[in-house]
Amino acid sequence: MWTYEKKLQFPVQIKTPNPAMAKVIITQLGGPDGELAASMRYLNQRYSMPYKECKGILTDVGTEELAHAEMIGAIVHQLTRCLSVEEIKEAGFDAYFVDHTTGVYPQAAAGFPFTTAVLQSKGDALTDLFEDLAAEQKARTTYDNLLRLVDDPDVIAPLKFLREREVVHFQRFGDALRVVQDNLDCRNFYAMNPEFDK
Amino acid sequence: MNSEKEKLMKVIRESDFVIQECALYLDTHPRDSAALRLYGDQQALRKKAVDAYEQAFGPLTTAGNQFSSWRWIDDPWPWDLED
Repeated sequence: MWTYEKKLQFPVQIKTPNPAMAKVIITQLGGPDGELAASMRYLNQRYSMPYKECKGILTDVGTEELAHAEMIGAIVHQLTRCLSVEEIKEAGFDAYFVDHTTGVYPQAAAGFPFTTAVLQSKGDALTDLFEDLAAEQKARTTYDNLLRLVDDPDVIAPLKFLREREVVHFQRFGDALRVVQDNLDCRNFYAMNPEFDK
Repeated sequence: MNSEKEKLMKVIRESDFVIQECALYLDTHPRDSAALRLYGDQQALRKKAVDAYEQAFGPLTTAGNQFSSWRWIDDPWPWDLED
């Protein structure tokens, strides 16, 4: 189960709306390397994971990703406040607007809706952790790309915070990978799948 | 934003950050006594700040709501832009 805390992990207070920015940042909510995909990936990989350290890290990182999804939602919401029809047209926000007005909908920058087709729960501890390590790096690159496009300090601060969390999670998944390997035959890590072969 | 509210929220956020960092680290290093100590110290700091915050500015969780009124739903919510 989960409990909601009525606060953001890092503050989001964006004074100047910018729908063009919202259109690309939304990818970190519903895109292929976004926070929602990250959370669903880790939380669903937990069930077949045999090692307690890894059950812990998948649960705790998967939970933190939900807080990140909420921060992205807050950024997108605040970037699309009080828009005129002219501003919507000028920013190229019209395609999103006709489908969702200024509601926050989890989709990629290119417009396709959130899909679990971008993530995997493979039922193999090594495979899943390598996927998780790659996922953190892909998300980090996405934040790097977004930071190239943004010039509003109100938007840069939370994006930088979220970028840094990807790096930390990558390091922690690296530790989890070591735990898995320590439990396997060091002469051949791939001799068996600890989530299936007993 | 009310400056006392901001100050308390800053303490809560900062201790939450340290607690989260310790928790993630402790998942794969459960016997690191320095990390455990830091985790405990920050929990105590956080509890004090949360109690003061909830008393003055309303609950952070539904369990933190006082019995006399339902302040849980009061604005602002976390995604609201504050003046």
